[in-house]
Amino acid sequence: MKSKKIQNDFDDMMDYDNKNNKGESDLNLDTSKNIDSDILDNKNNQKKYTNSDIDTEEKANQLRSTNNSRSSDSKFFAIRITGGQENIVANVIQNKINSKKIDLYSVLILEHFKGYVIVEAPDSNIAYEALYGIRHVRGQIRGDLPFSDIEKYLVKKPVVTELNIDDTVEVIAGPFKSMKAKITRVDYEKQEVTVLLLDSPYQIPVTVDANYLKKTP
Amino acid sequence: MPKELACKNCKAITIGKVCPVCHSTDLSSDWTGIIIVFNPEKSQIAQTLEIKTAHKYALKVS
Repeated sequence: MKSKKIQNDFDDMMDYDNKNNKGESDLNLDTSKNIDSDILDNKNNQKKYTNSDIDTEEKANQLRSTNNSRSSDSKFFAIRITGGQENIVANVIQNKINSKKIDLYSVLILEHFKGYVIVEAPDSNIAYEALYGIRHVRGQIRGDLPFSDIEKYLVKKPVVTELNIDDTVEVIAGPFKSMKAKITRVDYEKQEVTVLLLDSPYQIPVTVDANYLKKTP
Repeated sequence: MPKELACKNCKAITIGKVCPVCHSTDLSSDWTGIIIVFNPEKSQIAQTLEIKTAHKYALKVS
């Protein structure tokens, strides 16, 4: 009897062990499946990422093309006005466009063009509509200006950001005009640069406005 | 007419003491050139100067 009981107990234990092993193996299988599925998911994600990358690039290209098409829509017209009244005319145009819904893009006043206001609009009719009835407006120059003519007058970055110590520069304005100089100090906040004039017999440090300097290669 | 000042940071012109575009208080009375942007998305000048808010700006601030 005892031996039978022992045998039964042993069998039970073996069954228990087997079950456990099976369980473990099942678990292992599950984990391996999980890992495999994770890897597949990652691959899919990578594929998705690459696809999304391509999509974003395509969208960016589309945006660029639309931007180009938009920018090509705008035309520039030079408006002749009474000299010295540029600010007044600009303010009147601003008030008029704020009150009426006129599709004008921008108004530009350059100090180099006294007596003229440059208007950016999609069409000459819109420019005419914006300026009609405004005092001091004398007329409009026929045709539109190319953007390349205006672009050189637009100051994109302050000159001082491009200047560094020991750079050789040329003075383009002021009493030291057309003289070459070497930078010894740059004040980025005040936009002032201290230079040593190379052409003068004595090397005196002179502080000049950064806008008066042009970097020479 | 009140004196107009230009922001040294974003070049926006204002008559107040604070820039209405970037809220900076670093303003200058020494500025030249005016650009009034009405439609920054379509304006080629605004795109070149990276202007994103419709406002009156100076071209050069010193």
